[in-house]
Amino acid sequence: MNNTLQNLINPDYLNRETIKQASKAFDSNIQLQSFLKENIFKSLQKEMKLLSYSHNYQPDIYSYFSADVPELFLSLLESEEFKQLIQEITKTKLFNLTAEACYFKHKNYTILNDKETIKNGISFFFDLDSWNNEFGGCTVFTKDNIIQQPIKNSLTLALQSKNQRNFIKYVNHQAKDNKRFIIKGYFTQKLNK
Amino acid sequence: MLKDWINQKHLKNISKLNKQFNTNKPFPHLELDLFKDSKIKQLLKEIKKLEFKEKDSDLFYLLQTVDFKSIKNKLINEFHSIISSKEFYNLLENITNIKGLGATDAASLIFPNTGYLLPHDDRLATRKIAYILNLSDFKDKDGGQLEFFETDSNNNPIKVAKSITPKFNNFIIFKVSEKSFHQVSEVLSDKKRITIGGWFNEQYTPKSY
Repeated sequence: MNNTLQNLINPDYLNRETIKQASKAFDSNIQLQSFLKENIFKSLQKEMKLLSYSHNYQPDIYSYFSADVPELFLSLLESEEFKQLIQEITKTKLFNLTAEACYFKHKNYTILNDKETIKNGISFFFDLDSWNNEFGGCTVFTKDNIIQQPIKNSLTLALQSKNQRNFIKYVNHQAKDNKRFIIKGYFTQKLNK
Repeated sequence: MLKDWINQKHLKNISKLNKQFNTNKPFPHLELDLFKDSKIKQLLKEIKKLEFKEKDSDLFYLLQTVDFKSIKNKLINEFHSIISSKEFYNLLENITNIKGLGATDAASLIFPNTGYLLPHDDRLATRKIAYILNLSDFKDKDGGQLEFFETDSNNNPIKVAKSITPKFNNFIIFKVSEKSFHQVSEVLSDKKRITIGGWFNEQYTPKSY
């Protein structure tokens, strides 16, 4: 494995045995906890709160705030080694990357959009803070209606297809001033020719 | 029977209501105290006896009964037959200019604390007019407003243009169209937002072969 991964992620996830186990456990989704090295995570967590966010608002589809992915995390996402790791765990050949840094606060949500063509691939959610699901704002995977508990420094990977979509529940007023910071996106699947 | 339920003053005022319905913004709608308070108070007592099931999706969090046609309750059945009657459809057609009504969907909904319904346009097959009969009294700070969106030239919702705070016995109808984006804002207190709602559908005509 190359330096980038070694410098950034928890060494457990570079261990062949761990990767093998994660791959075995991956059915349609998996949450890799304590994913980044602690010092890397803390600096990313700080940086996420300082980004310049803009409100994405299309009332019938989404309302949340987004910004460009911080350089350090983007370099990880774009690295061939990271892609290989995700491919091994999810047993899926991956191609293009789409990603954004974002936060969800009271009144924010995403709605499943029937008009959208879903690209097959692997969606990912990297959580910067732990979160109370009573606030809403959790990620829901539609296939088995799985509600994912956001845990800080965890990377959630999930199949993305017509039958396995995801949305982020409306954040209710119990969240008060709390914000759920996430780096989210997806890799499209490379089709075998 | 219609006379037992409807406030007669409105029957003398149809042309005024028609004008209001068709000129109200951001899309044709009307709110009025169509039904007699005393009847709706009795109806609410019966509604409170019903079983409500929790519904949770990307679009909403609320509790709902089954459709009234599957409920055995004298007063609820009477109300349902009133709002499914030819006379009532005639009244609605005269108010809205929307013709060919022939079937009414009706259920009761409760939005509890943190309950909401996100923006959507209600369009589905046969729906012509959507309606909501409010059975709760809310203050602005309680949330639970029915909100209508202004749309752009491509019929995408842009921003809330009208907000209606629940008031007991307020009956709201609006035309279902590509512009009829609306939502129910989150309930922010422990008050329950209770409504009867549904759609007046176009008359079902079996295919001839």
